[in-house]
Parts: sequence; C-alpha cells; structure tokens
Amino acid sequence: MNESIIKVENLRLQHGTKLIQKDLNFSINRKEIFTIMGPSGCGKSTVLKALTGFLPPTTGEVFIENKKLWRNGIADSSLKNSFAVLFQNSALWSYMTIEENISLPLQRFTKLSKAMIAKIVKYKLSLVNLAGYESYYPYELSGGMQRRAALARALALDPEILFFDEPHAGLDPITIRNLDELIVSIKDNLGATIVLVTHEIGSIKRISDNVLFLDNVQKTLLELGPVDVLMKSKYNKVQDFFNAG
Amino acid sequence: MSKGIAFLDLKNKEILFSGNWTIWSDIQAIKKVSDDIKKINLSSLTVRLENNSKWDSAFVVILLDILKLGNKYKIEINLNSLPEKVLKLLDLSKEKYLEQEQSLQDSSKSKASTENIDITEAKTEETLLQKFIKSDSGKKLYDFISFFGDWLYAHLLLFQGKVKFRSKDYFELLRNSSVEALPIITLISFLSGVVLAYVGLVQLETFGAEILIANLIGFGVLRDMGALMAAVVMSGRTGASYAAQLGTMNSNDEIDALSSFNINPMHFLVLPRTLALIFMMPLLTVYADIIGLIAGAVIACSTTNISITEYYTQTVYALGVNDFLVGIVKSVAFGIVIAFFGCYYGINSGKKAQDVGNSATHTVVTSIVFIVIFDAIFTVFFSLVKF
Repeated sequence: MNESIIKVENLRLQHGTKLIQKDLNFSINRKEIFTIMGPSGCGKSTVLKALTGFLPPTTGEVFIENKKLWRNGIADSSLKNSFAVLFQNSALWSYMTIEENISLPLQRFTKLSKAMIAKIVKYKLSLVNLAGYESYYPYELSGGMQRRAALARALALDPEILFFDEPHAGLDPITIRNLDELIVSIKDNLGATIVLVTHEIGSIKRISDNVLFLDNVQKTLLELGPVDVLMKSKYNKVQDFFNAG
Repeated sequence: MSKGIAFLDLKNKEILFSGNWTIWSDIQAIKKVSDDIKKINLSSLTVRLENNSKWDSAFVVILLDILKLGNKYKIEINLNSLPEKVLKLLDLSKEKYLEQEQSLQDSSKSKASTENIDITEAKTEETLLQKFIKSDSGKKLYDFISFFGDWLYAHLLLFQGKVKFRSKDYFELLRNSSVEALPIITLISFLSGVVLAYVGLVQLETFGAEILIANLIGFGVLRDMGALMAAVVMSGRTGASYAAQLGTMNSNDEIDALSSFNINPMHFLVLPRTLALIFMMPLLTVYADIIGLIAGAVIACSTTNISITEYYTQTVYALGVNDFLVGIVKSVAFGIVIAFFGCYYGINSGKKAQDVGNSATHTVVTSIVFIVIFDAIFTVFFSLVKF
C-alpha cells in the first residue's frame, strides 16, 4: 500500500470573497510524481501556495508527514525544510552567484564546512548539468539554465518533497524533455516526492503517476487518478485536455 | 463618422443592416432594433447585410448579441444570407461566446444561491473590526502594524544573537550607503552652508554683529542642517534604492524563495539594511557637518572682514559637545526612518510593473515627512530639556 506524504482535507481557498477552489480532498503518495492540472485560472497555483505555506486555506487542512501545515493561518516553519519550491520564474536571488544561491540554505541550516558546502554545490550543479557555472549570476544564464539552477537550489537540502510551479513554461521541447528526465531521475535516485503544476500534456503523460484535474466552473476537483484513467474520463473537458496535447 | 443603419422589417421578419458596421462607425442603431426584438413576438428572424456595407468584428459582436437574444426569447435566427466570411468569423467565436455568457449567468445564479449563503453568514458573524481589516485601508494598516511588530522583534532577536545574515551583504550595504553617497552629500551640505551664511550675514550686518555668523552656522549645521540634509539625500538615494531592490525581489518571487527555505526576509534583508543606515548616518552627518562649517567659514571670511582665526575661535567658543550630539542623535533616528520605510514599501510592493516605482516614490515622500516630524520633535525636546 502506498504511504501518503501530503494529505488535503476539505480545502477551500478564497481571495477575499472570491471562491478559488472548494471541497478539495486528496492525498499524495511518497515518491510519486503528482500533477495538478486544469484550465487557466482554475486556481492550480493557488492550491500549490496553500500546500507550500504561502496562502492560508479559508477552511480545511493540509497535512505534511501527518503534521498540520497551517495553525491559525500561520504555516508551521518546522515543516518548511522538508520541502522545496521551484518557482515559475526561477526566483534565483539575483544579487548572488549561482554558487551562493545554492550554498545559502546549506550555510543556514547545516553545520557543514565551507569546503564541504562547495563540493555539495558542485554536485548539485552537475546533477542539473550546470557544472562550471558556479560563479555566474542568474542574469547571465538562459531561461532553461536558470530553471535548472533553481532546481539545484531546491535540491540543496535534499528535501522530501519538491513542488514545481509551471516548470515547463516558456521552454523549448528539447529542454522540456531534458527537464522531465531530470524530474524522473530526482524521484528515482533521490527518492523525492514531486508535485507539479503544469499545462504541458506531453510531460504529464510521460512522467506523472497521478493527476489531479481542477475545474474552473465547478471550482473543485473534477478527476483524480493515473493518466490513463483521466484520458478515459467521463468528462469531455478532461479528455479534451489530453487530446489537445 | 459613417453610420450603420439597422431596420427591423416585421412584414418580412428580417433585420436589414446597411451602411458601415465597423468599430470606427456610429452603430448606435442596433440598440433600437434590439429593444424592438424584445418587445415583439416572433418565431424566426432573418439577418441580412446589404452588399456594399462595410463590416468588421464589431458587426460579428452585434450578431452574437442577436443570437443571444434569439436564445433568450426563443426566436430562431437565420444567418444564411450573410457573407461567408462573416459566418466563418461567427463560427470561430459563437460557441465560446454564448457558453461564456451562459456560464456567467449560471455563476451569478449559483453565487446568489450558494456563495451568498457564505457571504450572508460571514456578514452576520463579521464584526466591524473584521470588516475593517478586510478593507483596503484595513489591510494596509494591518500590514504596517505586522511589519513594525516583526521589525521590532527581529531587533530583539538581534540583541540576543539569534539573527544571522551574510556579512558580505552587510558590508556591501555599508559601502553603498557611505563612500558612494559622499559626492552628493558634499554638494548639498556645502550649498546649505553657503545659503545659511548668506541669509545670516544679511541680518547680522545690520547690527554690526557679523562675527556671530560663526555661532549661527555652527548651531544651525551641527544641531540641525547637517543631519537633516544628509537624511534628505539618503532618503532619496538609499531609501528609494532599498525599496526598489526589495520591490524587484518581491515581484520576482525572490522573497518567497527565501521564505520557502525558512529564511526570514526580515532577518536576512531588512535587518542588515537598517543596521547599515544606523551605523552610517552618524558618520555621514559628521561629514556633512564638517562640509557645512567649511562652507560657512568660506563665505563669512570672503565676504566680511572676519579672519579665519577669528571665525574658528568664535566657533569653538560658541559650540559645545551637546550641539554635536544633538545632530548625531537625530541622524540615528533619521537612519532608522529611512531604512524602515524603504524596506516596508519594498517588501510590501505589489507584483505589477508600476509597483516598484510607486514603492520608491512612497519611500522618499514618507521618509522625508517623518524626518521632518522627528526633527521637530527632537528640536522641541532638546530645547525643553535645555540640552
């Protein structure tokens, strides 16, 4: 039986009085690639924010490793080092070099020596095929390279869970495929659980173990399951998404 | 402006469009036709467009509205006589447009039936304070108080040695708010000294008390102008730069990225900036004081018979350490004000393109206002305690 690492119960998200999503109940299994998809504006990224401690739920609970993430609208900071977030626009700290970007979390939260941190940075960069780019600043790298550098930073503390917000946006097909291979490799080799928010149907079909489809009209979960099940969904909207890809 | 003419022919059960039906034409005529369609009782209507009529997407939108009316009032709308290109354009958007209209209606209905329950419940439960907190001004006040609380708490933790930030960042901030600020501070302080000297001399010469210009400039520069001018320059230079840096980091999700690693942006970004200005403002003020005094001396000695030795002796005689300290105390407060508002507006800047610019503007304006307020408070206070 699969062990769940994230559990969402009766989640309801609002911006002010505007409803984003409601009645969300799902679990994410350990060491799986879980994709959140749906039409533009359905609230995928908002759901991700609630899972990563950036947006408190209006009602409902998010459990990570069986611990409540939210208490009185404040995210439990002790849980934050068990996961990392890869932001849509990479969000690398622009005034730091790539090496400093990756070493900062290691300096803050470990007692490793400088030499060891430097070695770890090199290793993480080689994992994402960016060895040798330590001294570069983010603006000196292309979009795809920045995305990979941000992934190396996200991997810095070997998190249990990796959240990706639209990692494929704006990338060419080859870079997308390489990124997918990297994501699968991280899951297989580092044993991380991957939560993706993406529109990239090709990637979803290639790498997702389970998919959550959010609806923008009913404003709730429409389908949940493996890709092949969703491709035969009773909902035309879900099928259309997969056929369009 | 060319006109579009629409005519509802009840006899032939058709709407005839003629003239220009483009976004550049006067197409008000459709309103009357639409109103007429709502009033009459017809089972079908044919839409026709005169051959020499001009049309563009505005006409397609009008047709979509007619189709919507047809749906609503159960009138079959026949579009077959329209040009093929119009029909193709219509086909591209018809389904989605009508679907969107339908879903808008549905959602407003469901809002009324379901969401309103939540809102009504919320309304009955919400106190006046909660309503205020949810309003724009309430949110801003809440953000400010919460930032101020976090800021104070971060300083408390700093004294307990529980805050870590990169020394490299701190020294870079020190450099940025010191050496790089010197040229502009030199210019402004020198000119303030010149102005003070000229204004003072005009009055003192009438009493034959030119020598007292040394007292006037000494008091003015040390107790007030040195710190004030340095603060105004630093709020426009460093305060705005803090707001822009942090605002840009905010819009690029870099601040969220720090939080995602459990690194407190207040400790990592705000504290070093505040400390940099707390440390640098007194030094810049001492520098501004020296430049201001030199400027005063240059003007006084070059425009009157006072010698530089007399001027120096009079200055040393007139001023005390307390005058110097008043300026230093003020400068620390001004440094805190500039760093606080620069960081507050930067971190709370929105994600839109203009937000970074706005946060820099708000920083400069608010900082200068508070600098003047604090200056007045300190001046009155030191005068009352005779310091």
